[in-house]
Amino acid sequence: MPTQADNERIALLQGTLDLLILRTLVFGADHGLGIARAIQKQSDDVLLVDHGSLYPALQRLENQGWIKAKWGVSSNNRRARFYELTLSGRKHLVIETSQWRKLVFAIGLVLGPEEVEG
Amino acid sequence: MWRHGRDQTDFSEEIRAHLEMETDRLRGEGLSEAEAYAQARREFGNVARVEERFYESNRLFLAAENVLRNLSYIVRGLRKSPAFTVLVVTVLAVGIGTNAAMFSLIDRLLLHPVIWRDPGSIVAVWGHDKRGRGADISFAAFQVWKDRVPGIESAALSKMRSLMLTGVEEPESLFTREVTRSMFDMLGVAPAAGRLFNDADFAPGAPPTVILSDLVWQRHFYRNPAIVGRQILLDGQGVTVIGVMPERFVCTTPGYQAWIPLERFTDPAGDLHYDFEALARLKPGASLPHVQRTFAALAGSLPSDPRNPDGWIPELKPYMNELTGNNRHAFAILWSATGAVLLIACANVANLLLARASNRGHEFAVRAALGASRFQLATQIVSECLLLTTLGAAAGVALAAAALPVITRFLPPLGLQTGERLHLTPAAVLVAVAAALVTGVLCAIPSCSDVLRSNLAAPLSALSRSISSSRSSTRLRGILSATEIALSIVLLISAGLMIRSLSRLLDVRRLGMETAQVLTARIAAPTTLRKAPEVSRYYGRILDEVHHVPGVRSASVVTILPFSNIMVTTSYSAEGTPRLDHRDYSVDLRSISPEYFKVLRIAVLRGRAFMDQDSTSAPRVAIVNRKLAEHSWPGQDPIGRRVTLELGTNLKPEDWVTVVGIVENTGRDAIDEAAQAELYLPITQNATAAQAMSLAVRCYGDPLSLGPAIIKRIHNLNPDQPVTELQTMDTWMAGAASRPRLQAFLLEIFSGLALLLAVTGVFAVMSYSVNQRTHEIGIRGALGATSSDIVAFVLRMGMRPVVVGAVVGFVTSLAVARLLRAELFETPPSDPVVFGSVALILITSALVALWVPARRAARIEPATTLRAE
Repeated sequence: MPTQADNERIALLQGTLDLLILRTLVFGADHGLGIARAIQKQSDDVLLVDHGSLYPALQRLENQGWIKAKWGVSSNNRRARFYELTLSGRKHLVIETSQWRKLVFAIGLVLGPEEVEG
Repeated sequence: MWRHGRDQTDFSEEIRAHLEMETDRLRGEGLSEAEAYAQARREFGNVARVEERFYESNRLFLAAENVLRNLSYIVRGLRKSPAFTVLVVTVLAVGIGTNAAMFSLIDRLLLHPVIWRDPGSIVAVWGHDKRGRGADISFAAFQVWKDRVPGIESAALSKMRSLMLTGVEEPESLFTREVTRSMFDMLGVAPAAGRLFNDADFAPGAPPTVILSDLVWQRHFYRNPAIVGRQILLDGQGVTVIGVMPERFVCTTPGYQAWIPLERFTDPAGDLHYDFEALARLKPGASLPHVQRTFAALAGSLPSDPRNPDGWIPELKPYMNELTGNNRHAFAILWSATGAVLLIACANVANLLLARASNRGHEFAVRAALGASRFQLATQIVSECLLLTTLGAAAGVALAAAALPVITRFLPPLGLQTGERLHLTPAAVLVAVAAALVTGVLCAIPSCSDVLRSNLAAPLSALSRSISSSRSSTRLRGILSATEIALSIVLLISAGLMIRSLSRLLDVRRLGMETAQVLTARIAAPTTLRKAPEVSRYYGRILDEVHHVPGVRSASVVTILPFSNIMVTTSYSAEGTPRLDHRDYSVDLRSISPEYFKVLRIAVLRGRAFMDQDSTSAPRVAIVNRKLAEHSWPGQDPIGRRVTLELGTNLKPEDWVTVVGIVENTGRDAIDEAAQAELYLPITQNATAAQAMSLAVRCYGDPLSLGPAIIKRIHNLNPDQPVTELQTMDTWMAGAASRPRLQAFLLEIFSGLALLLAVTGVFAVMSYSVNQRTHEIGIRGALGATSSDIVAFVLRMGMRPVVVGAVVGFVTSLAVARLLRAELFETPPSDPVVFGSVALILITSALVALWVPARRAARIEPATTLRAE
């Protein structure tokens, strides 16, 4: 259940979901729901992962070879598909993260200090 | 287990697991099972949409499944309309098959006429003197230039020689070439068995050796490899066979049967005579004009023939062009014709598909309503076309493979070797596959554009039932029909012109002889007879025997039969006329026995034929043809004038022959060539009379049935006398005319096919239109149109594409016929008879094709149609 009001949530930018999924998986294998929750929690409930986009995104990353999946059992004994980061996925994450930081920094410069706070 | 290609169930499973886990969590927050599940579903969003996105992300898998599903769907559809399928596949098989067969011919005859290594760099070395008269090569000059012209890698000399093969079941006179050692190495062809000539074979006093052609090996020695190393009898002398050349090997012109080492003359002066033919291989990258220039610059310093003081200028010609030149144009025409047939087949199939697509408008509308995109429908049409054309190509290749042996029968003079079988070449199969792909896409374009443009849902609404599918598709079908008509008119006119040209070629008046009921055979006097009078007496005795066979009207021998593809051409001078230049200088020479003109019914125009009195000791006489008489003595009486075949100025009286008669011109070997000067000598007086002759016998009834009796009679005289190649004069002539005949024959077939396809197209379009317009025609009937009004209406509608196509076709034909001009004999490209008959044929066939739908339209009951609304 979301704890913040709907209008304070931010829809994910195109392409950022992939980055967040990869980042989440750095801490270990997890299933789709777990990944979604982790992103939500890490972002203090600002980022809401649309489940409809999550699974196609996972599939896309799997097809790229950045993550791999296998069926396992969840903490509450449900069968679930667990994803984990591959080596190339790790490399990709490093590159993407540094690019993202550059982008944020650059956008920050353009927008000016006050706006960044908002 | 790690998986890569994931299936749909696995993905759905994952989502279900997600929902279950979410439900668990929500239940933990106090919701009931049902509420929790509903909440989880709500949060997840549209499950089906997510599954679909997964499904579509698996593109490759999707495509493969699509293709399979499409295919099974198409196959089911085609099986439901077998008539349509069979018609389309047949039409395509004919279109693609003719092209595959034609390409096999082209591949063999134009692209690979010889099996030499890099045949493009082989040139024929010819020469002429300063007066432009042709002169061959002398041995002495060859020895000098072969190493001195920078662009020439290697060169070889050869000379024709006739040798009698005996000691075999059927003795035969072999066309043999004497060759220099370099010949086979230069051409780059290895023997099929044994070895090629080496230096020892050319050493003075070396034991005689021979290399046989595949044909001789097969005909006389049954392809027995043990022949290599054995001796055979050539002109009575034992000669060792050292090798056999592969099938299809030719050296200089086709038809030679054996090769022997070139003999030097015992008389050193002979080395200077222009008696040889030369081939040369150019160095890689050497340009022909450059080599020609450097060679010509060298020519002045070459030893010259003392008999011809006018010098010698070399002339180099690419040999491939010499071999294929005559066929190139003929095949360009024939291939264009098969291309046109394929185009017509294409237009026809496109038309049939359009009609079918329109009839299937309802089906497409339903599929579109069920979610098929226009793109998917178009994909289906394209796949359907490709499947049909693939089937058509397969059937076409089978058809071509079956038809090729038949076509081969017409071919020998076009460059195939005797007995050679033609196969479908891999390249031709590739052509068929390419044709299938292109045709498939071309055929699909009209139907696709129809589906992409028209309102797919229209057929579902009852109101639109009476409106014909779409205006654009109707117009498209009209254009396609018109194209078919136009193309078939071009083909019909080309075929018509060819047929007319052929009938002029084969006109008895032009041939100057009657070939029917004449039997011919090759016959050679025994090699023991060395002197010319003995030889001519021997032939006289043979002719006496033949005359005694019942059914024989007249009999003669001749050195060279007309249309036998061999010609002895020599130079001549007429007494009291200035020396002639090269072009009018040569004359076809034949030595004959007295009854020759009677046997072939060649008209004696003035004077007399030869008689028995023209014996060896009598004054020397000659008979000339009309062409020679008109040329040498225009407006004068040639009888009593004298002619000589000798060169030089110090001529003895016996070098001159007196003209005693003039005969009609006869057709030449290349049947479409204009008449040539001809000179006949009696065999009794021609010292150079060859030992090998042809027998020509005019018979009552079927000439071939007299063969055994004639042979028996000759064997009465000499049991060892070979009599070979028994065939009729008609066969010889058919062989000479086979190129124009083949062209006319194939064009007839192609144009007939084209007309049939085009008329079928007209019929199909009109039948379809009448079906579509039943309602409209019903209203016309209800408003008072009589049945003849309706017939006229339908005919008018149906003739529109025919007339448009005809106009375009006739205009195009005028241009195309100009390209044909080189192949047309005494036939103007705009021959009114041909154009008129084609117009008549076309209008008649179109009217016949339209009559059926017109009658059906006239029988439409207005009341029934309107009630159906």
